[in-house]
Amino acid sequence: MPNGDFGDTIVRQFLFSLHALFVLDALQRCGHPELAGIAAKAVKETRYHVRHSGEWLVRLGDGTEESHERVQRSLDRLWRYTGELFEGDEVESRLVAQGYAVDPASVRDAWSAQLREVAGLATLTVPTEVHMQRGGRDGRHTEHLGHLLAEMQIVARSHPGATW
Amino acid sequence: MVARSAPSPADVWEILEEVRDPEVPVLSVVELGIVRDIAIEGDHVTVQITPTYSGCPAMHEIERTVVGALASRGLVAEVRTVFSPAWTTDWMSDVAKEKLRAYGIAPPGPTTEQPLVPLMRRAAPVPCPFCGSRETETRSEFGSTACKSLQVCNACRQPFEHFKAI
Repeated sequence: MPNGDFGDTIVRQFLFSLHALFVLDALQRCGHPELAGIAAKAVKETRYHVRHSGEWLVRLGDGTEESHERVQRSLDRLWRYTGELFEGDEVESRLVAQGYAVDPASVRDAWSAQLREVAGLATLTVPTEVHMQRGGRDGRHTEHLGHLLAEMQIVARSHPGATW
Repeated sequence: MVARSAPSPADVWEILEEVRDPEVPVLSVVELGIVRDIAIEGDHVTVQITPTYSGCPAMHEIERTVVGALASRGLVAEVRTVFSPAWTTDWMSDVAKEKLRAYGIAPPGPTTEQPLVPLMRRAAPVPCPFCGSRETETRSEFGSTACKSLQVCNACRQPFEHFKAI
């Protein structure tokens, strides 16, 4: 997605962090002790991300007419990318069967309920659109990813072998 | 300490007490609570360290400094990173917290059991490390480092950072 709109940044972080939080919470109880330990640590940090983006969402949504309109537009625009958060792939299914991973579909209800609660506080309407974009899990991304990667790689590409 | 003889655990802890956190130089890595364990075999020391935050960019620098400090006493050090149990600010001693406050960083309070999604359940205001007032407010959940938030004191008008309880 294009970078630069604060509404997009906050909505995207909230939708994603909330999902990560529920997945990591379940992962704390997985059958791999080291993975469970890392998840326990990540839960602490992800809670901050949820709080940070969630409070901004409420502030913007329940703010001025313009901030409300813009953050609602961001939610409408980004909604179609949330479906894939709950899709696993074949490798993930095998790990879930062995007790080492969390089925992403299993956190959908908790995610949805929490999102609705925060959206209510933010006076935002959760979109009802059912068509979801797919393909990210198979490596098919929007054109924006190429530009983002180029931006992130420019220093290393311009100065091959540089160390600091 | 005599080089090349097996050090006692107390010797090693004493050396580690000299290793400062690069982001919060008023605290040693021991006071910060990130040194979890040490093991000594001859002149070989293994130090277990846990990161404050999983993405903490200071970890490599800390590892380098720990190895350097022990090497300067003739010891061969190896640093192992452990993630579990996860670091908590409760491992910081009261002395360390007071050092933080005197340095101008509001120390973390005790951690409390919180709901998984902590939205809109803000903790009590953070006392200003300069004037002690509780008339403070959070400006940003993230400060100069991920482990600190940005606060401002409405009594003495001084902005300051708060080491978050985690």
